[in-house]
Amino acid sequence: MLISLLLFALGLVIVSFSASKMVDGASSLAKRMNIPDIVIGLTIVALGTSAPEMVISILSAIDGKGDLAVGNIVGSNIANILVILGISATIYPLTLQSNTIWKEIPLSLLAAIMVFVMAGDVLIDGGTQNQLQRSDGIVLLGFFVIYLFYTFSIAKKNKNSNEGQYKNYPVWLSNLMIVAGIIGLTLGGKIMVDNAVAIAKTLGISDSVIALTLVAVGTSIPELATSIAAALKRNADIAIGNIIGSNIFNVFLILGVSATISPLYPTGLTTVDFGVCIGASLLLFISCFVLRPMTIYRVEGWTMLLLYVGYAAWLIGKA
Amino acid sequence: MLINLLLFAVGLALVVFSAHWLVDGASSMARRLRIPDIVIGLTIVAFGTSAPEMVVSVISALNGQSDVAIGNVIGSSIFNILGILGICAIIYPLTIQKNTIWKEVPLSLLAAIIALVVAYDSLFDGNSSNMITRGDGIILLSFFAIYMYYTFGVAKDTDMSDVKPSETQKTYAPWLATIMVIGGIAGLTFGGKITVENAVLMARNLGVSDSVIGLTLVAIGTSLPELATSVVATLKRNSDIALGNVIGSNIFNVFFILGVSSTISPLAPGGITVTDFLVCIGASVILFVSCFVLRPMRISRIEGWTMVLMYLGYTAWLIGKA
Repeated sequence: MLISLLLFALGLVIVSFSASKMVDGASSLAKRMNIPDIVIGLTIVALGTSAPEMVISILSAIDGKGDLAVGNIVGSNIANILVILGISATIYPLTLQSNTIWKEIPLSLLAAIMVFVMAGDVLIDGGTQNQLQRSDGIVLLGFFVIYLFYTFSIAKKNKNSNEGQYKNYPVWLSNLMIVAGIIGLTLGGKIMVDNAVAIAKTLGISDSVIALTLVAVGTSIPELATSIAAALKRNADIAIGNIIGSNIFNVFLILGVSATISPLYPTGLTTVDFGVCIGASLLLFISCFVLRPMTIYRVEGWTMLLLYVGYAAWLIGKA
Repeated sequence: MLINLLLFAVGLALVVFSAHWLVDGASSMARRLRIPDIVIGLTIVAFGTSAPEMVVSVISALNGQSDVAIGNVIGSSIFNILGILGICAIIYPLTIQKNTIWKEVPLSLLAAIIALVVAYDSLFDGNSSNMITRGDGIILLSFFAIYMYYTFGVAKDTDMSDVKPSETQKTYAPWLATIMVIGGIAGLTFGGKITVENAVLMARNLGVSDSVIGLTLVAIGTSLPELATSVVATLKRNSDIALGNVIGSNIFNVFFILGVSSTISPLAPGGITVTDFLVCIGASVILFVSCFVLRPMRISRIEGWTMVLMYLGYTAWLIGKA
């Protein structure tokens, strides 16, 4: 049990480290090909931040562990809002921009609803089994294309390119970093998945509970670090943008890719879990208006944290 | 047979006029409620223009005639590009704006692809049955929500000074506006019912399938208002309206009309084959490509002829196959 937990943590470290090396290598290579910084930032770097969720969901999709693949995404999105934004808001009240409130948060809410609509076949279509089919995956990727278009147009308008923010490595080293990064990601991801399942077995709880709690919070640790650091520097934009972007990425890209590779059967996830994910996004949207407009206040941060504790307790109590 | 064709035309005319009354009445009411013109234009007027396709597809979905419901949407989208834009480009080469090429045309292409993906599950998932389920319908409506968001954003950014008041800007007495709305809805429903029933009867008489009638006669019939608008706009050398009308309609067709129809009642694409969906995707790709070849940012006469010929070829294939 303890050794599994340790190995799980080790896997996470390997994944995070490999992701950062792969991003550096790929960015340097892209820079050599004269790809603009903004494109690198929005694709390679954004992808790298989501790498832990990505490898876990794809590897468990291939293994046929639908609960782990979908639970990781749903749980990460819940933890991102209730835990990470909650903690960030308790550190310093977060002020939001109008674009974030009216475009990105609604899109992340839509993403949460889409997961429920696609996976909730039993409730919505009277099907026999909840499943995320390959066609659902392709549709999610369709949403992702729209999101990419949106981020590019925003980024083009802003034009605050920080020239030379990407380091230049020799070509051979870049290639090595990419290859080693991918190997590390796969290896670390595999260790994480295997040990998450082992922990669930030892504790006698289901894959879905482990995915929604331990795995979800684990894969969200990089986002936690980024957002807290940003909140301490009073940089609300980064603290929030990081989270909302991650929630949109998780569903449209990661779940999209996972379901396209291999159809998912999240039989252990309930309507409550999907509902909490939608509710958390809704709560975020509402908290932009109540108490102080455009601001997520300390009290709201504490409320979010308490809600997460309640949800986690319910999950564990049920198991 | 002839009487059916006549009734079909009457039903269609009734639908088109009812849509006008509904739009005029509702816009007048909205103005009294001090709703901004731009919001009225993007909602009431836009939905009103799509009302013919809407009633036909929804009524056929409720009747269980999936082939007519889907055929109408896919056939309209094909006809909109290959037929209407083809004819317009032949009349006068169409100039395209950057936003249209890089945002609206790709979105209409995405719509065509998504339609195939949600309809033909078996292509991607092997064992599953082909069905546009209620869940798929909700997904299509979500895409539509994003599109509406986008159009509102564009409209807000556009300088309001060059938005000239159109002929729909009349304000009627409240009682008259109410009658127009109620009468419009009644006419739409009644006309739509006549159109669908007679389309199906014609198919029976001709011995062709519902899908062929849906893809051709019904699709062209419901697209006649768009044809008129785009041709008039082209004659006035207003490419933006000619194109915007057609591309907007294609996005509406899939995301909104197919979305609403399948949310109300799940649709099985029995007679509408993968080929028909692929022709719809292909037409969107051709539109995108024709923005670049021959003359950039422009759809030339030759491209217009090519589109029209392709449409004739597709229709001939459909009829020959029947």
